[in-house]
Amino acid sequence: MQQGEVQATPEEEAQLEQGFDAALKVIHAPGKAGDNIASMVLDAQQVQQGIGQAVATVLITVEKQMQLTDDVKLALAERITDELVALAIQAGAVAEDEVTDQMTDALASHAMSTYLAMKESLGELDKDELSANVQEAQAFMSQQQKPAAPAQSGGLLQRARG
Amino acid sequence: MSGLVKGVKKVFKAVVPIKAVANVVKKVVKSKVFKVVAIAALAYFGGAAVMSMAGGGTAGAGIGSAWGGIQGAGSALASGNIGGAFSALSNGFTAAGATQATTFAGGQAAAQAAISGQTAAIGATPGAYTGKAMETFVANGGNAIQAATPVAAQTATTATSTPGLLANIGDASKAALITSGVNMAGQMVQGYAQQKQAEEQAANRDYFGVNGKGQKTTLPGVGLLDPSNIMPQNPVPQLQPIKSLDDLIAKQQQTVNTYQKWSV
Repeated sequence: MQQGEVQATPEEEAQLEQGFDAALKVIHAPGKAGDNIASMVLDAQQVQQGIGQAVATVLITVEKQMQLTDDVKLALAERITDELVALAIQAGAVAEDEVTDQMTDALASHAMSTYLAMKESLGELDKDELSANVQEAQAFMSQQQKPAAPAQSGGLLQRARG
Repeated sequence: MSGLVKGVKKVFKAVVPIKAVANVVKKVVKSKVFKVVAIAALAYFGGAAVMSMAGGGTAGAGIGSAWGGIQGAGSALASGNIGGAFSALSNGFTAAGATQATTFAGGQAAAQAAISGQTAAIGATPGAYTGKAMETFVANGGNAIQAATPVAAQTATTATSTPGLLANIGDASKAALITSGVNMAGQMVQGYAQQKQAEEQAANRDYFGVNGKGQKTTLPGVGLLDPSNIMPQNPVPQLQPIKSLDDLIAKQQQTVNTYQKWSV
């Protein structure tokens, strides 16, 4: 374990396992569910967009079946993504070489934006809670960027180019 | 979602149920990028959603316009197209949740068959399939990707796919770029030339005797009673670096309120 990391509690481990078990039922169940997941991945303009949407969909479906803490939810989303990516690789929809950090970036972005849009559409998005979380996330990202700051100089384009 | 950020630092043991697809390398979990990007995406899309709702709109409008700001109009989500996800939610997953574990193998095979079948159609000649979705997929480059070598496929995918928040940016800069206010820099790099060209074209175009800069051109009398900029409140969108949430709000409002409000 690296510095700053915390071991999940046995309860959280159990919750993740149950959540992933439920997610597998959603993904691999016969009939419409599996078909919907497959078509969501392949009918999308890009595979990563389809997988991102599918991740959000499966996650919300699992949420409706059981209570999940938010850090478990994040870990579960990660594992659902891996499962769907693995299926896509097996089916030949995407090559294993293509699963890079850049693709993960796109996947996670699509998943989060779809998740937020769906939660809002379902009437389950608490503005105050979301606002607090956004501030929390911004504070976290500010901490993350501190070590990299001295290496950056020049204008925005120069910084963007790394 | 409270505590989502905390989850970045939480370490779980490997959860690999027997029925999962285990013979493929699980790159997402191993890379550790997912969690950081998810937090960054929360900051970005969540921020846009909050700002949009604070302005009396809906989160969907904020998220859509924020996504559009990154990726352009090509994104299905930018146009609010998440119908597929909702269809999946309401159409079959209830039964899926009640499915017994013994049906996993069959279900997994069915899901893979569904994907494999459609993928096989992609690999075939265009006339070998009839599904509209597959036609769209192939039209968007799926066929080329399928036929290409892995390296070529990656290149093709990069060329035809839409990058995420951190595309084309060095690892050290990823986290900094997202929330330091220069998260639009990636967009600037990727789309600068095209946007500049579009801006110039728009600025040089004449409508009813007025160019895109609001100046009267050499075509007096063309148009309606009093030639004027028909959309004075809707100038050519300018690419501006976003340095604060206020800037983000302004951008969202500019994007959302792009249509002229007619007064009587």
